[in-house]
Amino acid sequence: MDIVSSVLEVEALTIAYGKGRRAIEAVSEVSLSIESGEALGLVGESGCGKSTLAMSVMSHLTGGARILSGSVQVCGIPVNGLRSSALRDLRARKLAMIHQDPMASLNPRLRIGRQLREVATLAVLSREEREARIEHTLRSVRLADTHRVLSSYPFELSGGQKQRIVIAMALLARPALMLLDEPTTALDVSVQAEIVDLIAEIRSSSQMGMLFISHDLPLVAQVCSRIGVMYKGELVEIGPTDQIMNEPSHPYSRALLACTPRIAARGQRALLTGIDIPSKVREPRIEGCRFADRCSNARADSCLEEHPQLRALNNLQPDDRVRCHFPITEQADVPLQDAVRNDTAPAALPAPLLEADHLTRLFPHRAVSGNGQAVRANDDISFHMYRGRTLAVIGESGSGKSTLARLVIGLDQPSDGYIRFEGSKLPPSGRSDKVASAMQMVFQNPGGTLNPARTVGTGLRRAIRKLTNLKAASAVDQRARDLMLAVQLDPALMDRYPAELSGGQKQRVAIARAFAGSPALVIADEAVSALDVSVQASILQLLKHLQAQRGTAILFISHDLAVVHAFADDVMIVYRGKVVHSGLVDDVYHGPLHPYTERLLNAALRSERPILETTSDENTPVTAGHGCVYAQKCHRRLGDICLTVEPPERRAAEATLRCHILLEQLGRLSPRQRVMPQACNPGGTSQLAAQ
Amino acid sequence: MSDQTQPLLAPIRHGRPPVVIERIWRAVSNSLLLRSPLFYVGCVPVVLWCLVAIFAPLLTGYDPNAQDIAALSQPEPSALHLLGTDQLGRDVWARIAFGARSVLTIAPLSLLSSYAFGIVLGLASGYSRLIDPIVTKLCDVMLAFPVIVLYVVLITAIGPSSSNIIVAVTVSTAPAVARIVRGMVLDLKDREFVDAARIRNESGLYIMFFELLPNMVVPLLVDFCLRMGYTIIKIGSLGFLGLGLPPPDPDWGGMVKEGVAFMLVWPHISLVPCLAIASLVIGFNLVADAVASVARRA
Repeated sequence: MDIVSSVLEVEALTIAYGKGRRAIEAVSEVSLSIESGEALGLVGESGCGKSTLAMSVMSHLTGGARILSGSVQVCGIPVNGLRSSALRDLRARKLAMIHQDPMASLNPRLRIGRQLREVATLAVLSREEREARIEHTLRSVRLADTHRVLSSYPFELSGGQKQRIVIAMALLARPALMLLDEPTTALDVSVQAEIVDLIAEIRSSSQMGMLFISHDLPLVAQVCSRIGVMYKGELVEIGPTDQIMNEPSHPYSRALLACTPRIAARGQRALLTGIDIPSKVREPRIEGCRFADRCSNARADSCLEEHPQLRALNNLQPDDRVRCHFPITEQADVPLQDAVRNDTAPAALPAPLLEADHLTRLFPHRAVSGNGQAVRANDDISFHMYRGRTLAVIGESGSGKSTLARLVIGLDQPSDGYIRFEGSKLPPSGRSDKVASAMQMVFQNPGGTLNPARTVGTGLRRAIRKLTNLKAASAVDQRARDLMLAVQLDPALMDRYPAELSGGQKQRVAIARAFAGSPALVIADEAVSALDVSVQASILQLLKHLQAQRGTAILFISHDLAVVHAFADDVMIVYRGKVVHSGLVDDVYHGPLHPYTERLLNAALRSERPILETTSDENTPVTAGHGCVYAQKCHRRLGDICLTVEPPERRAAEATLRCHILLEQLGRLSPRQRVMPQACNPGGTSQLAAQ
Repeated sequence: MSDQTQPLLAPIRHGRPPVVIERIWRAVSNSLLLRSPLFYVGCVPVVLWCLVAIFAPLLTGYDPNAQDIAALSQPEPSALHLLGTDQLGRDVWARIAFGARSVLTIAPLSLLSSYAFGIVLGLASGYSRLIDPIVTKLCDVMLAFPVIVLYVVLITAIGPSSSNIIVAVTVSTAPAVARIVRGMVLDLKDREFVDAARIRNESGLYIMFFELLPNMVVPLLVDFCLRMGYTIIKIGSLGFLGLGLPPPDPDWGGMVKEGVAFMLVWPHISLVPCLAIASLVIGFNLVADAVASVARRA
C-alpha cells in the first residue's frame, strides 16, 4: 500500500446498525482507495450504504452504527479508534465534507464571514493571510461580491450561493480528501449544473482526492474518473468512468443506466426500464447474490446459492472489478422507442377535457415582494388538456407550478380566470363529489401522502367508498384488491402501515388511491422526483400503462426535462408564474428554444461548457406586468425592450414561445447534445434536421 | 432497505381490530414497553392500589366511617388497627382503602372528560381558522387563572361532590389538552394525506377525527399517563382545601387535612394518606416515562 499517494484507503470495511441477531449490515466488505487528485464516484439507490461509508471516513457514525471489521485510513492514518484530539486534528486538516442540504450546513444565526473565519483559524494563519485566503477561496467558487457575501446571513443568499459557501468552507483548510454526499440533490436543475461545473473545475485544478456520492449516474460521470456502484451494502462493480457508462458488466449497473431518463432525438423517446419488483414481499436472503431477486439474468443454481466475489473481469482491465457470476460483456445500448403516441396537433383533437383560462393566483404582498406588489404565483396561464394525453409543467422551485396544481385540483382558488372541466365551469370552491372522483392527484412526498396512522387498506377502501358508488364491504374490498394488483402490489400489503412500505410502494398505493374512482384526470405533482431512478422508471411505466388502459389525462408537474421528454406529450415551461414556452414535446425541445428553455436544456444535458454566463443567483425583484419575466436573467437579452415591453407570442410548428428575439435567431439543440449519456445511438443523428 | 427491516416487523395478521386498539396492541406487543424496567416499577404501585380499591371490603374488617371509641385514647398503630385510627377513632387503613376507590374513579373519569372536551376543542381550533381565535382566547383565559383560585371559586359555586370535582378538573385541564391537540393539528394538517382527503371531498369532521386524530394517539397516551399523576395531586389538593368529597366519605386529601392539626402528636394520621398519594403519583409518572421513551423509539 502506497501511503504517500493514497488519501483514502478502505479495507474490507463492514459496518452494521444494531446489535446481535438484529444487526443489519449497511456496508459489507467494501474496499476502495482514492489517490490524491483523483475523484471516485459512488452510486447506488437509497439505503445501499453509501452515506454510511462516507460517515465512517469522517469517523462520525451515528444511530448505533458500528464498524464490525476492516479499516479506514486517511493519508495513512487509521481513522477508527483515533483519540478525540487526534481525530479533531485530522478532520480539521485532512478532511472536508459537503452535505446535501446547504440550508442545514450553515448556522442560520451567524454571518457567513464569521463562519468562514472560524474554519480559517484552524489553518493557523496571520490575520492578513487568513482574509486573503478567504477572499481567494470565495473567488474560486465564483462568488464575486465577497464583501456583501461575508456580511450576509445564510437566509439572505440563494440555495446555489449557500452551497458555494459550503464548498468554499471545505476548501479553506486545503484538505487532502473531500467527501461530497449528494451535493446537488437539494438544488434546482440549472443551479445544479453550475455547482457540478464548479466541482469538476476544483477537481482538475487541485491535488485533492474526492469521494463523490450520488444516486445520479450521469452526474457522477461528469466529475469522476472512476465509479463504484453499490448495492445493498456491497460494492458490485468498480471501474473507470468510461467503462461503467458505456459497457457496465454488472446487471445492476446496466439496469441503473437503462432507467436513467435522457432526452432522445425528435420522434423518439427513451424507454425507461425499472428494476423495482414491488409485487413480492421480499424475504431477506443471506447466501447467494444480493441482487439475484431483481436480476434478469439470475440463474437458479449459482446466483441463489453462491455469493459472488468482487473480481477483475479480465486481465486487460484489472481496474474494472465486478461482483457477478455472469457479467455482461457486450456494449450497452440506449433503449429507445419510437414516439408511437398520438402527436397530432391539439386542434385536430376532440373537445378538451379541461380548459384553464387565464388562471391567475396572486398572493397578497408580504416581505417577499418588497415593493408592495402582490406576488404573482400564477400569471395568466391558459391551457387545454385532452383525454389520454399527458401535459407536463416544467419549472424550477418558486415558479408557481405547484400553485397551478393546487388551483386545478381545487385546493386553492384562482384570483382570476376559471377552469372548465368536461365542458362546465368549476365553481371557485366546493366541488361536487362527481368532479372529485373524476379529478385526483398524486403527491410528491411518499412519506406524507399516506396517513401514517391507518393501514394501507383502510385508506384505500375509504377512497373507494368516497369516489365510487360501491358501498358493500365485499365489493369495496374486491375493488381494493384489484387496484393493488393494477399498481403491481401484493394485496397482502393492505394490512400494513405506510411506515412498513418502501418509498416506491407508498407511491404505488398513492396512485392506486388516485385511480380508485376511474378518474378522467390525474395530477402528478413531482410524483417521482423523491424516488430512486430505478423506482422512478417503474412508477413512470405504471402511470403510462394505467393511462393507456383507461384513457386518463395526466397533468405532470416536474423539474426534470429528461423525465418529461420520456413521459409527456405536451409541455409547458413556466418561469415566475408565466408560461414562456409551450407546445408538443418534440417541437419545444427540438424547435427554436426560448432562452429559458435553452438554459434548462443545457443544464439537463450538462454540455461540456456552461454556455450561459448569467447572474443566475441574484434574487432580483420581479417587476410584474412590464417586459419579459425572464429578462433579468436572460443571456440573450436584446436590451431595454426586454425589460419594458411584453414579448410577443411566436409560433414554431406546434409550439408557442414568448420572446422578442426572432425565431431564426433563437438557440437550438446542437446534434451532439441530443442524447445523454453519449452512448451509441444509431440513426439518431439522421433525424435531427429541424423542420 | 425495506426488506432489511422486515424481520423487525410484527407478522401480518388477518382480520382487523379497530385501528386505534390495534395500534395500542401493537405498541404493547412490540414488547418494547414490556422490556422497559421502568414500566414494571411504575406498574407496581398503580396495580397494587387498583387491587386495593377493587377488593377494599375484603382487605379490611372495618367500616371506613365507623368510630372505635376505645381507640380514641390511643390512635397509634396497633394489632387491632394496623395503621392506627384517626382523631375520631376511624380505622386509617379502611379509610385509605375506600379512599382509593374514590380517587381511582374520580381521577380517570375527570381526565377522560378533560380529554373529550380538550380533543374536540383542539381539533376544531387547529383545523378551522374561524373557531381558532375564540378557542385560543378562551383557553388562554382559563390557563391564566391560578388553578387553586379556580377550584375554590368553582367548588364554592357548585358545591363539593364527586361529580363537581370532575367538572372542576375538566375546566382546568381541558384547555391544556386543547392546546396540545391544536399544536399537533397545525403540524399535521399541511401534510399531503390531508390534502388527499380534501380532494376526495371529505368533510372537515371526517378529516379531524379519522385522518388527524389517529396520528395523535401515542403522544396523547403519554400525556394521559403523566396527567393521571397531576390529577391525583389536584384531587388531593382539593380535599386538603376542604373542597373534596363531603365528609364523612373517605378522601385522601381530606385525611391529610384532618391530620395536620395532630401532626406533632399522631403523625400517622396525615402521613399515611400522604404516602398513598405520593406512591400512586410516582407510579403513574414512571409509567408515563416508560410509554414516552418507547413512543420516542418507535
